Amino acid sequence: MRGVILSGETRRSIGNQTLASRMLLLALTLAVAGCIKGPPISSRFQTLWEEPDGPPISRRVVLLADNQTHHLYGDPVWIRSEFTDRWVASAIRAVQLDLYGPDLFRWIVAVFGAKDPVIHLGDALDISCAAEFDTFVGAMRSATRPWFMAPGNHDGFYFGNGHFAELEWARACERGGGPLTKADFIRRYLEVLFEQNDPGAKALAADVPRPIPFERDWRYQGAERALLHAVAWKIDTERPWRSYLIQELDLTLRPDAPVSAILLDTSQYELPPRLIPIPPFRNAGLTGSLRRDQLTIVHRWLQRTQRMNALAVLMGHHPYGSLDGPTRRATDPLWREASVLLYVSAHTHRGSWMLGSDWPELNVGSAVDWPIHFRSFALGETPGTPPSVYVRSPQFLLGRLWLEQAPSSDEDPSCDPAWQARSEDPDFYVGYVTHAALDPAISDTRLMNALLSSYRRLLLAAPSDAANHVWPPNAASDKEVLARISAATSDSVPLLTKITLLEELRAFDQARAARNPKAHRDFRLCSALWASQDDEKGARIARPDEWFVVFPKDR
Amino acid sequence: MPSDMLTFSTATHEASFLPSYFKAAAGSVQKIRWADGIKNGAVIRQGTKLATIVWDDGSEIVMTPPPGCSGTIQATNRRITYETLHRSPAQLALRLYA
Repeated sequence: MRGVILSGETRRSIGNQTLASRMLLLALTLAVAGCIKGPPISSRFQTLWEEPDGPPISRRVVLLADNQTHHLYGDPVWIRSEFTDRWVASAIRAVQLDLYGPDLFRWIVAVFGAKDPVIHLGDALDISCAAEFDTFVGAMRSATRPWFMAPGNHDGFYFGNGHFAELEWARACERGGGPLTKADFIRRYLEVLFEQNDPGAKALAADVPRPIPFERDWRYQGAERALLHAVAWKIDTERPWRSYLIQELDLTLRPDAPVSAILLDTSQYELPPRLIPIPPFRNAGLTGSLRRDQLTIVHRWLQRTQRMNALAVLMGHHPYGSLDGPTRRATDPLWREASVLLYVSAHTHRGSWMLGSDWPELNVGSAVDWPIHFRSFALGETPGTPPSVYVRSPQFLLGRLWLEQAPSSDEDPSCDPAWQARSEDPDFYVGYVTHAALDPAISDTRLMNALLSSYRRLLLAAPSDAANHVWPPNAASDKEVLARISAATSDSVPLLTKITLLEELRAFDQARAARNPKAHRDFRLCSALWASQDDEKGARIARPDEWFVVFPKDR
Repeated sequence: MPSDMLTFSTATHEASFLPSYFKAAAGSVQKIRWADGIKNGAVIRQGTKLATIVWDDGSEIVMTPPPGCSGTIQATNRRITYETLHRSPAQLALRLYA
């Protein structure tokens, strides 16, 4: 099952396996590259060219995952040095992707969440800092329809690996609101869940006392049509890794054909997950897990869906193949006993169908890492006797939506090639791959310089309007801001001074009035897209699908 | 039987979904179910039931040809991207023989 994921052996394609897991996967990839073609599709399944004529039986939802909002302004930590990045493909991501990625994610949520509810399948955060959560929620609030999420290994665990090195975790989250443990994450998520414009979420908000209790198994009793039908959680502040959150969404479209989606928490561990997974410890990036208390409730919920003759879809962050043995042994009977149609996962960043085993699985790719993609999901019925169920799940590639279609409205960005950083520029998206500093402070200094240069490029591409009255300290014009940026990029300037200016620039850029607001927005969106493209390979390459290439006349 | 969700081009003989209609709609299209017999070779005229639109609240409306759209069907779109019906460019619904 993992062979499908591992067969694409490019530098940036290893996905969201975190430090130790990526090292292990890299070795495995090199060992098996070219040998594995992936499992064949079982004859139980059939793929179709056209949509069958039968009626739909579920509401459609948008599936997003793995945007990994990253806090850029923490103290240097060894896990993010250039040297580490040599061994672990995505220890460092292009800083423009970290800076502008939330804009890109917000665009997806605003456009595709305008008509359909959104389910996020985890890894909303990266380091797991409070500021990352705030940025993520800010983007999700651009959805018109309700949204829900299943936690991933980055949502409450340090860099997605585990609960360890708390002092270093705090350093990485410096100026970012501090670390968010799994227990913190669940509490913060529940507070946001209460705000959702869904009758179920509103009923939950009314029923649950404040402060939020440590444990609850809640079910919607209202008559109004609601998406959120059940929530259960446990918040263990002493052992945060044992905390969990599960939700049941009612995706029923026709009363005679009920459909439930159960969002599992595959990042719940008996022992604190660690970087090096020496048994009995796990690495959260390598292995997913559900403890007995969560499984008991899932089992009870599934018995209920079975009594209702409902179709059930399980969704969780880790692919089934990376769940630990006890979890798989406990969940295997569910497949046979409880009418579970499909498991939907994320985590790999690549996305795929896995239809070779007893557990048919749909894996959703990353909404920020290249190829930036997401899917929708709905069930329908095929005509004929006996009827079968079909899954409709088109995949949307942002590169195709933006680059291969002429912009159809102001909603779509126009990417001016003059905005794109070139390999010789100080803000080239993947300039960091040419260095291998062991000292994370040296790596961070280079990354912050690239960010400062990117702000310089942004100001030149989208200057402030004459009427703008918002400025960072010690500046009252774009010219003065640019002068501060130039002065700060000097190597003699301390890292903390650079970070302070970057925080000021972030606040300035969010609040300022640009002469051309669309160019201002588009620069940020296009920079994230270009950074994502280059970051996949760690280089600027001409892709097979390039349409236009410019050649100089003079050689 | 609303037909204002479609527009017909006499130049291309194509009926396309109007993004503005779907943008203004409160609901989200879950499926456009072509009516029995609406396929290549079928003859349609004003008032012919082309399809049923199923909305996210479970309600349904019938889709009929827009003004000027009558003749023999050459093709119907059976890979409609419902997620972007409210966005340009307009998606093809069906094409008639010239």
